[in-house]
Amino acid sequence: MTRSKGSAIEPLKVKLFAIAREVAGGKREIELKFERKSVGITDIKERILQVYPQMKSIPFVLAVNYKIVTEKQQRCDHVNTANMYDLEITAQDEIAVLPPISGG
Amino acid sequence: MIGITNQPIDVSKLMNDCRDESAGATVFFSGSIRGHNEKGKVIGIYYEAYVKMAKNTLAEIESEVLKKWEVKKFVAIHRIGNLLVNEISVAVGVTTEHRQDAFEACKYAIDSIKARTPIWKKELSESGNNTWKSGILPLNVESILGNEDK
Repeated sequence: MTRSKGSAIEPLKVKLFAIAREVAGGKREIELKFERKSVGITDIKERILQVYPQMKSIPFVLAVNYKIVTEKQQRCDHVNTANMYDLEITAQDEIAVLPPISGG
Repeated sequence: MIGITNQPIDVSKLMNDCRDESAGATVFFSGSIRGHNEKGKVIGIYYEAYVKMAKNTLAEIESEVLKKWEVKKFVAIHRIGNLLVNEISVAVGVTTEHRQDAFEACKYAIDSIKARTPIWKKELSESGNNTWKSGILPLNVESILGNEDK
């Protein structure tokens, strides 16, 4: 993705699951617009709560490209926990809101 | 072998898949739908998964189990969709040479699946008051895995 003068920045697409989807109105995927093409995990979380304030009622974590990323921008990959302070998320990444899990 | 399926889980087939002539022990766990919860009667459960991530997580767990124990066969399948009471939602089978490893590895696998796999369940009640089951945020993976010497 390139940013040229006058062209719109591609919005980030965020998948919603289970109670998070229902609380946000039932959409399986939402789009979040930002002024810059790469953002951090905190930016995304804050924007979700800004657009969907009702989401404040449920705890959730974000997954980026199928890995859980905390607000401290650390990636838990179950094998090693690498610092991800330089994590820059763009429209090419797959982002998902994960409320508390309850499989089994 | 791992998987997420929207079809009924065939336990007999999976147990057969776990057989191995070089092994003497298979521990098989299956989870099924209870007909009640703390509030009353439950008629079924709707399971939803973030399928690709859930498959990745099951594959990670399989890989951890194979690394920690001398495992001959491993299966872990989780079903999604609408399930009725008594139907099987999850099955894990581990085959090892001796039973202690099979018990330990099977417990590790099902505990890890419940703690880490992005799957959600909604309990369906007779009254129509269907609720998402409260669960845990899949955050503290390191602490879940911590204190595991083996």
